[in-house]
Order: sequence, then structure tokens, then C-alpha cells
Amino acid sequence: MTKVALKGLAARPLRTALTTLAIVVGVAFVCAAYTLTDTMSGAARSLTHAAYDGTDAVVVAETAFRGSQTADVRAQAPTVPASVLDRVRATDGVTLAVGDITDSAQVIGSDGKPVGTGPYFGVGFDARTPGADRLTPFRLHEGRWATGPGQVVIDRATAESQDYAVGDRIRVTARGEAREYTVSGIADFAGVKTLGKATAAVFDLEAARTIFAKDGYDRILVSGRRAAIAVPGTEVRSAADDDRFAFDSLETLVGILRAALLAFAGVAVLVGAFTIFNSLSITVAQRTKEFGLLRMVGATRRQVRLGVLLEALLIGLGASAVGVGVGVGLAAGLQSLFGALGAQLPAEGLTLATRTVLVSLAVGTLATVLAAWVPARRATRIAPVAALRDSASPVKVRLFARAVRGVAAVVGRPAALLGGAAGRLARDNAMRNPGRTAATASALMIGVALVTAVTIVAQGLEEEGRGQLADAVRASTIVTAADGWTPIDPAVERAAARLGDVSSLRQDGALVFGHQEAVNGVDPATIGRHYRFDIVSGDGELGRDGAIVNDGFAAEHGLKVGSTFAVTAMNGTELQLTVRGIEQSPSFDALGLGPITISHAAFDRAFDQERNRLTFVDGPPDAVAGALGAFPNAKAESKAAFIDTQTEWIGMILAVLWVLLALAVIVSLFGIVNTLVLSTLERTRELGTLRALGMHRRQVRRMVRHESVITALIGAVLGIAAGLVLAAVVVGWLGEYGFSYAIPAPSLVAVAVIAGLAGVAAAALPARRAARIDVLKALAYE
Amino acid sequence: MTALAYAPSDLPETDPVAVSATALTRTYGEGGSAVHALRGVSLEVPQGQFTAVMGPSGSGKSTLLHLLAGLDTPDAGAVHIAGEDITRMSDRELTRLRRKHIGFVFQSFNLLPTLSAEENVLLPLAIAGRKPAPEVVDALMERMGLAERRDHKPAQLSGGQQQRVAVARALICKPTVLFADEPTGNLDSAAGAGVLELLRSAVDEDGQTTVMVTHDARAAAIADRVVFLADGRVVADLADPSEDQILDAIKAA
Repeated sequence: MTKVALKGLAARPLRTALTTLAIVVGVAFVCAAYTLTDTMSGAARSLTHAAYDGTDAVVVAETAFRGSQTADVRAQAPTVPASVLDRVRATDGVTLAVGDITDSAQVIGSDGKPVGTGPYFGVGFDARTPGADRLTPFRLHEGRWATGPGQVVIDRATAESQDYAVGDRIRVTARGEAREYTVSGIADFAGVKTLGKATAAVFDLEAARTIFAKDGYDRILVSGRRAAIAVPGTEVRSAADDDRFAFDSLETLVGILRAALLAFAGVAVLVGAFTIFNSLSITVAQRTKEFGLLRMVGATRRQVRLGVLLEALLIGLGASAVGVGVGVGLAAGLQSLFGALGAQLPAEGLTLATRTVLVSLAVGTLATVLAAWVPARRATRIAPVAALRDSASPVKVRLFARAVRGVAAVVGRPAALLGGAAGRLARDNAMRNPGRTAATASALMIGVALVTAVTIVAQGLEEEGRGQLADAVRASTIVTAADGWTPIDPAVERAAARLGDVSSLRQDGALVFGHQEAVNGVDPATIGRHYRFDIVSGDGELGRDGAIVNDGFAAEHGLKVGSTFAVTAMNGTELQLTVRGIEQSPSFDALGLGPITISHAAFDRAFDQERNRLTFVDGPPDAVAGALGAFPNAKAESKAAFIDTQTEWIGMILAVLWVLLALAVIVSLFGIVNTLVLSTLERTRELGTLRALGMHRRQVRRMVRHESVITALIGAVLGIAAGLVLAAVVVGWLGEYGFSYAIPAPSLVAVAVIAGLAGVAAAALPARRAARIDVLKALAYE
Repeated sequence: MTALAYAPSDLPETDPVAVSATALTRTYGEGGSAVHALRGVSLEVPQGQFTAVMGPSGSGKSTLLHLLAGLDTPDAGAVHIAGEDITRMSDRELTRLRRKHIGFVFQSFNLLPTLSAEENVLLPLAIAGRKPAPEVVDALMERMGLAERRDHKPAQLSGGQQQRVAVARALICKPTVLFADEPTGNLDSAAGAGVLELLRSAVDEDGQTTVMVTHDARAAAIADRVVFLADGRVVADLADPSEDQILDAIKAA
């Protein structure tokens, strides 16, 4: 049977190749997902080593809780008093200790706006202490370290993109207004031009304390033995544990990327399996005579089944092996794409792990063999007598196939009306074997269903967010940082106050009921005119120690109006708060405000961070922007523009999903090509007859094309229907968040049109083959 | 033999030629394995004549039919249909020729399984984008004995009925010449006789020029003329032969 299977594959190279393609794409995606993310986390790890390995210990202020890197709002840690530095230096075994500040500062580009989209590292580095280079990941590329106020070292990527050179005067904003600095040097970050998409401004340490308004240092970096260090009020950690450049979040991001890529690889493999199932089903039907003959010469059912499964195994292995190769290429392509987008990671070469190869091969092979199971069983049911009969047994029409036939009749109507005889025959052909059309279309259906569902959910999310912001925000102008979410200095609020009524919202992280939560600080006297809290019970009067909490949070912790609870800031300050109002939880927290809101007075008592997330201004955006000219990092937007900015991430995620799902759709196109090639092969004599009856080649091509478009449209129609249902289920499940369910008609029409065009594309090769058949050979009999 | 009674045995010599073949040569393969299917065959089929082509397997009769119908191209010689040389035609011109001038009946019927009997009959018109005249269709279906079977799919029809659909399909366009390739080869004798009768009546009533390849002497006997091929050459050409004469000629060939 091995020989029969091998020869069978070799005898049908085109069919084998087409069948293979579907699985190649899926496996390539699996392989690329692993290879790319392995490479990226390898790079992240090597960055971590390069950045932290020279530092033996880090001394930080003792905090009430460890700040979470992944919390929505990162808590601001308190500083270490400058006096601690001397005590650490005096400790036995410490050979070197320097203070460090790692905060954020934006380099202003030649266009007057902050360079890049963050993170914006603003660093204070003690270059005057000999040997301090060992304790920083920054490596001077040219020039000198900043050693006094008015000097700054910037990262090489920023210098190159803005054409800044050593000696240039540039503007940098850290707190408040932008100031001019002289570029004293240009640095690399641990061997790369910059870290990911970050920018960096490295100041002299003492200058940085002024710039960032720090009483002490963020941390003290130590070289030497860490065991002996013991200063009250401080903790000793390893540099990696302290992770001041947030590499952990990079790893988290890589993890998310891997999960997303694998999910789409899964979709691609599933679609590929459908294609394989379909191809093998047709092949088995076409080879009825051959199987009958094998049975007649003594092959058992088992042997026939093993023969088909062996064929599938070979296809699966071969396709998976090719897929691994293609996947490595795909990973390289994606990597250079990320590089081109500015997210540079250390070049390490791609990491093709043994696990990647094994998983890819296993997934591709298993999917193929599983998809072959049903066709293989069907092959065993062929009786030896089939070898003597001409026609295959009639196909059973199942429920789904019946639905497909109905849809085919409808979507085939335009073809039948416009395409003349070719169109009508195409429709008949699409309906004659509904099981096959169903299987072909269902591969496309999966992709289309996911596209539809994802689009509906994303649009529901977006509409929900927009509606919520439109309701809550009352200010005519909203000022945020350029990136939309990092805090900005209160000087911005004071500058804007000249134009009209202002109010601001501050935010920090605190420990509440054992968890880190975001706490907002607002001015009770003015906030109501700018931002509306939807209070459902209580009067919402914040006073000195009042709090508004959202109803979800209240329910979770059994809080009622009048209940008290404690909030602990990172520096240990504890606030005893009384619930004065319970607000309606937003369907989803578009602004990321979190559950607790207190007054500025209470906020400023507990938190060191006097910076504003949002500054509301009652004045026209243009005037506000004009008044804030000295603050390049402040972005003034009208309410409408603000709503757009705050919700645009949804559209971006949707765009990425569309691109990934497009791959699944492409895989399903291979399925259509495959089915059409096999079907036209099967109908060779019919094609010959049609040609003999006076059908032009053009008409033959049109017939195949119409059949392809009809099949694609069936996939699109059923996919959209399934997507609508899927989205309804998801939206219903998220119903407690008040998700709206809106049918995005234009997008769905676009999907259907794209599917139709895809059908035309898929028909190109089969139509050419069908038109080229030799009439005489096609009609040959006996 | 009843069909013979209606045969116009006295065709005028001046009748215009519907199909003519001039010195056709066709060789398949090359060198030692070359098969000389036709070695210079000339033939004229006047309008309105029912010509049968006979010969043993490998005599070249099928090749001749394919060349006459423009399905294959000769190595040398020419084929004219309705005065036009079809051997130099492009695929597009040949397709037009088939629509207008050629009807074809196959041994294995070759009906489209998805179409009803009537749709199969109308297929050539549909392909050419022409509308059928309802009374013409009705008359044809009636004449073919298919009036009750119009909406049946080929799978629901007997072999004889299927071949009658095929004959109707070939006649619907009123072609200059109808080619039939072993039209009774897949039928039992009763069904075969029915189909032959239909072909004969088309010749008699509409003057339908017909060329039929067959190896069945009884089928050939209804023709006006029987041409015998052997080894790629015409070896006999009998006008209005009886079945016995045909059998004798086969033995002689």
C-alpha cells in the first residue's frame, strides 16, 4: 500500500501541491509565531542581561506594596533620601554606589512635538563618579556624558531621526515647560540604537534631581556585595527584580503577540484541514474504481484505509516541513517589518527552537491525518464491484449541504441572469454536489465569520466607549500628554487657567483591599462642570476624606454610602475614606479611570505625584493650544477629537485582526482553487461536449469563474450569518457591560464584495485549465 | 427496412456539396510507432444525403469524422463545410462554425446531468445566446417522442430516451451537417432502431445532411450511401446498399 500511496501522489503533482498549500500556510504561521516570539524574548532577555548584569544590587525606598508593572495605572514609588547614598557607600563590600533617576522626559523634535510615541526615558546618570558606566545600560556612541545642568545625552535612534548632533541645542520637556539643552553626547542602549520604540534623554544626576523635582534618588545602584547593605527605610533588590526599564512588560507583550499569532495559526490550520478534507473526499470519489480494483485483487478494508491515511500522512509531513521553512522566512519578514516600524531589538538571528519544529510538524501532520479520517472511511466502504461500474454512488445530501444548495440558488441568481448559459451552468454546477460546495465554502466561512464577529464586537466596543465619553465629558477642551495617558505637570493646568475655568484629574496607584487599584484625584468645586460622575446613590460630596466608588467595586467589597475603607499609597501613607457616592460602573472603562475617586486635598496628602492625567478647560481648543505653546508635551483637543483619540486603539486592533484573518481567507482560497481544479477534471467530458456544442473558450472560463464566485459568496453569506450569531453570543455574554450590537452594514458589504473578487482570483488557474482542454481527448471514450 | 421506402434514391448530380474532404492525411505519433490513421481520403457529401461510414477498428473512420467535424486537424488535405475551408480556422472560428453548421450525436449521449431533457435540447441555443421559438421546440420534442419527458433529468431517462434528447439537441440549430458517432453503440436494438428512425426522418423531412460512423450493418443500411474505410483508405462506396450488400462489402474489405 505504501507504494500505491506514493505513486498516487507522484501521479497527481498539481493536486498534491494544491492540497499541500493549504496546510503549508497554517504550519508556516505556527512556526513563525514561535520563531518570532522566541527571537523577541531572546532579544528582551539579552537586553535585560546587558542592562542589569553589571549592577549587583539596587537600593530602593521601602514601600507599602510592590508596584505592579502591568496595572492599568502604575503607582509612583517614593524616592530614597540622598543621605542613604553615603551610608551605602560606607557599607563593607560595596565597591561602587551611585544614585539613579529613571523617569520620563520627551525630546522635542524639529516639528515642535515630542519624538516617538513612548516610552520616553528621562534618566539621571552620575557620570562624575568613576566607573559608573558599569551601572548603566547606556553606552556613549559619541561625545561626552552630561555633567552639568543644560546638558543632555540622547539615544542614537532619536539623534538620527531628528538629525541632532553633538553640540546642537535641543528642547526637552520633563516637568512642565520645555527647556533648551546642549547635546553633549549620543548613546546606544545596551548595543542597540534604542530600546524598542523608546526615546531617551540622559541628564547629569544632580541636574536631573532638579529637573524631575526629586528630593532624593529613585534608587541607588550598587556594585559589590549586597549582603551587608542595611539602611532603615530601604530595601535591597536585584536590578532585574527592580526592572527600571520595564523589560517585564516587553515579555508580557511578546506573550500576547505569541498568543495572538498562535490563535490565527490555529484558524489557518483549521481552514487548511477543511481544504484537505475536501480534496481527499473528491480524490476518493474519483478513485472509486481504483479502490474497487484494489479490493478485488485482495486488499482488505484496513489496507485501503491505511493507504489513504498514509497518503495524508505523507502530504501532512511534506507540507509541514515546507511550512517550517516558509515560517522561518515569514518570521524574518515580520521581524524586519517591526524593525522598519522602528521597534528595534538586538539582532540575534532567528531562534528556531527544536520545540518549534516539533510542534509545527506535529500540528500540520495531525491536522492532515485527522482531516483524512472521514474520506479514508469512505474509501473502505467502496465495494470490489465498484471496479466494474462506471459511476460513483450518489452523494447523500445532508442538512448543511441542503442549506448550501438553497444559498447557491440565491447567490447564483445574478450569475444565471447575467452570465447567459455559462452562468446558468455555473449555478447548476455549484448546486450539483452540495456537500462538496459546502465543504469548500465552509473553509472561507470560518474566516468570514471571524472577521464579521470581530468587527461587530469592536464596533460595539467603540460605540460604547464613544457614547460613554460623550456623556461624561462636558469640557470643551481636554488637555492630555502627547501620548494621551501619561501624566503632565500642573503648570499646564495653571497656564490654561488664564483662558477659562479649568479642572484636573490626577491618578496614582494605591493598595486597596489588598489589591493595587487606580485612585483619581479631582477638585470637587470644579469637576462637575467638566466631567460628570453618574452618581446613583449618595450625594457625591467628596470633602476632605470622601470617596466616590463605582458600583462594581462597591458590590465587590460590600461598600455602601457611609462605609469607610482604607487606601494605602506606596510611600505608606494611609487614607481613611468614607463612601460619599456610588457611581454607575461604566460599560467598559474607556478612560481607564478605575474605581475610586477622591478630592485633590486627600490625594495630595497621600501621593507624591502631583501630575494630571486629564486637564479640562472651558475654552476653544485652538486658544488653549496657543496658550500651552511652552509645553510641547501637552496636547489640547476638542471634545470630539479627544473622543476620537481615546477610542482609536480599537480601530487599530481591528485593523491588525483584519490583516491576520485575511490570511485565513487566503488559505481558504486555495481550497476553492483545489476544488475547482478537481471538479473541472471530473467534468472533462462535459466540458468537451459543451465545446463541441459551440461553447467559446471565453464562455468556459466564465462558467468556471461564476462557479467560483458562487462558492465564495456562499462562504461569505454563511460566514456573515455565522459571524452575526457569534457576535450576538459574545455581545450577549458581555451584556452586563451594556455592549451594543450594531450590524456594520458597509463592512459586511465590503466583505461580500471582497469574497466575490477572491472567487474571481481563485478561478484564474482552474478556468484557464478548463478552457484549454482538448475537445477530442475530452470526448474520447472506450 | 421501412425507412428505405422513403429514401430519395434519385438525388440529382448537381446537388450542392455540404461537406467535402480532399486528400486527408492524419498520422499519430512519430517514427516506428507512427500510426497512419488516414492515408489520403477524399469524400463529398451532397446536401440532404445520409452517409454512413463503416470500417473495422483502426480503419480511420472515427478520425475521419473528427476531421470532418473540425475536432481534429489533418496533416495534409482540406475539409470544407458549406464552402468554407475549416482546416485553417482558429479556435474561435471553429466554435462559430460548430454553432451554425454542425450538430453532433455521441455514442455515450453526453447529456449534462444537471439539466432537464428540454434544457439539454436548448443548450446549443443558450450557448449561442439565442432564444428558441416555442412552437419549433414543441414540434421537435413531439417528434422525438419526448413531449412527456421534458422536465426529466438524464438520470431519469432510459438510454434510448437520452439518445433521442441528444438527437434533438443536435437538430435544434438546423445544422448544415449532423455528425453521429456510433449513435446506437450504447443502445439495445429496439432503442437503436428508434434513434435511427429519427435520423432517417430528419433527412427525409428536413433534408438534413447527415454523416454517421457505425460498425453496425443494420444501422448503415438505412443510409443513402455507405463508405467503407480500411487502413486509412476508402475501399468501397455503395449507393443505397441493402444490409446483405453491406455485410458482403465488410467481408471483402
